[in-house]
Amino acid sequence: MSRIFAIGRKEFVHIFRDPRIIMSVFGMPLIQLILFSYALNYDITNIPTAVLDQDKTTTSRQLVQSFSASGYFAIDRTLSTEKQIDDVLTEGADKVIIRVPAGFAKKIAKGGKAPVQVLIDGSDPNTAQTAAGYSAAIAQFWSGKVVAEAFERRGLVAAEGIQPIEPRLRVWYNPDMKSVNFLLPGLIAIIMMNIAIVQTAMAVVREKEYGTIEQLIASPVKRYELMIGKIGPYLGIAIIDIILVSLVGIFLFGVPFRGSIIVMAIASALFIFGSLGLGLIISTMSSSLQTANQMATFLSFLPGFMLSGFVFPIRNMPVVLQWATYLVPARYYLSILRGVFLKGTGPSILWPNILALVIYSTLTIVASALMFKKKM
Amino acid sequence: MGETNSVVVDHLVKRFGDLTAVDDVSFTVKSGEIFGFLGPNGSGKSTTIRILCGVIDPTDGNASVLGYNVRTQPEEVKRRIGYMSQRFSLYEDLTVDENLDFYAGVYEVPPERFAERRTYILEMAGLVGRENELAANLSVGWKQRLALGCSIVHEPKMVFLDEPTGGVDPVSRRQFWDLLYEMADSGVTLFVTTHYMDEAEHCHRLAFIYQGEIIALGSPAQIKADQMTSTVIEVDCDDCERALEAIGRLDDVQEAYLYGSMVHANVDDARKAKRTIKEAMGASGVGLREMRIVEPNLEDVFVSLMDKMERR
Repeated sequence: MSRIFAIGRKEFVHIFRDPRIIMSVFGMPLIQLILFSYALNYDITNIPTAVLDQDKTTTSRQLVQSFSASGYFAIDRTLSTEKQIDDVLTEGADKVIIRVPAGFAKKIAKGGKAPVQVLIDGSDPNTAQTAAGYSAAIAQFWSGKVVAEAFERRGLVAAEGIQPIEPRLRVWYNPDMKSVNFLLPGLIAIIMMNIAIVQTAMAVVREKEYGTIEQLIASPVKRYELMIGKIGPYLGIAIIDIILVSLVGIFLFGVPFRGSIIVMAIASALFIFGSLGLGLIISTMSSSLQTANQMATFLSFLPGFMLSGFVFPIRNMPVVLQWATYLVPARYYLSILRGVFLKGTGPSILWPNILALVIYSTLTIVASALMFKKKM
Repeated sequence: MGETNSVVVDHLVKRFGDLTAVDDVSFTVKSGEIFGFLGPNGSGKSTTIRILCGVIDPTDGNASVLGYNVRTQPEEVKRRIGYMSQRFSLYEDLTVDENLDFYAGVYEVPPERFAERRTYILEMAGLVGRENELAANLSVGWKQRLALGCSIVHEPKMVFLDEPTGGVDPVSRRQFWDLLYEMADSGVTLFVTTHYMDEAEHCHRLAFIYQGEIIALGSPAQIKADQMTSTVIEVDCDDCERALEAIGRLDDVQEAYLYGSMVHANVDDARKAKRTIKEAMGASGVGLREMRIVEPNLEDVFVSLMDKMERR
């Protein structure tokens, strides 16, 4: 026991005496939280929009009006010819162009279908997708209104009590569509991976690079004592970070926490242990800090970022990549965190994810114990 | 303790792929002696010491330290020995005290005992008053003594030192060897590798290792007597480089090499050789100041031994 403490104590001194490590384990998580919350914003409003109204009727103006009234589209230009459409889109100043063809009002008056063209600049797929969604909703809403008015003109509404169908977009679990709500759980996973995988791997490899590992191997320290002593401090820091980031998220950014702390604690413990194991495995395979850093980044950060659903939704990925996500532990942890934070989901639904994390942590801890030899 | 052996090495072999680093080596180290392990870089010194400390496994053969087999009971060995590796394994971002404290923890030294050891080691290493300095800020001589202190914090009966004086200035080297003598006097067995010949003279017994094989074993005097069948002529002249070239070509000279600012020549027939050397110097135009027969020292022995090995 005293040996584990000796190693753990020494590791703490290493951490607190190296500003780079301090920055990496305490500064980075908070900076990431703030950056991601403000910069990586999926909330799209005020999309610059141009209008080509070739109908020039009250009806067409009403339609354009409902676009600008939605708040999603900011109409900053009115075009007069079709030729201009090309120029505007190429120039890139406006992302959306609404074209109301001539005869629009007449077609509506006759009760027929009246096409409206919405051109969207697809070079920023995120904005494009959102713009497409909003314009479809607005068009539907508007046509509902038109139908209702048509009924009204024929005096049908009051008599029959028929309400016009009014589509209302309702986003569940994250009703304000606040990106920070969606990102915070992912951020926790990313931070855990940085501390548990990258820092642990570096902590062991540092001893190799400085030659001190040889001294430890020649000492009576046991394998498990070295492992526990090494990962203990990082385990502690990881837990502090989870709490810190969660509190900042909840109290500063108003992220809801609807589920059970116990579920979150269990999932976090499993994920951290799995990651610490992976960190140790990487440390046994690399002999320099650079290799360790690269391997850790490649095995944790990239898949954690790209394939966990943190930034890119999994169901939008090509099928092959979707399969690949099943191999990314962060995916399961992320599902649990989002469930706990946003939906208040309990273990009855989350258990497959928890099981996946049990398998992950068992595998890596066993593998690292087997690979972590006390020999050179 | 009398004549017991602290280390017994029996037909030890270590291969790294195709390279045989240690080739069928056998020797013993007596309790309480300073045993010098001598050889050029890459001769297998560090590999042997690492096997004895349980850091790497031997490919073949056996070795025991303090009665424990390094292959089957490595942890028993590790508990009882001190090891100072080539790179003075200190944590540079830890202070003097923190380094000592860490190794005391690793070797499970009880706190009361550690307080005593700490005082002793700080005094021994001349680090009193610098307890809170970072190891990184110490000069090499102090680092070396702190590293020694860390490796003996648990009072081992046997200490392995792998080139402990590498890169250290002559004064610090001298001080360091004084510490080693003190330890030997108190009954600690020391196993030291070095490639400094003057340090080898300080050892009670020596083993010469060359390309993984032990080519000479015994006390310095014994080795000199046994191995040095030839006579050493010391040549003092005004251009050593050219003299060395001229002397090296002579048939009467087995081996010629620089020794300080002079040339040493190993010869069988001293009188005949003196004559031919004089002639050769005259022919090459090098001014000869003096030429004399000298007592061979370990460096002469080692060069002559290596020469024999190469010719074999």
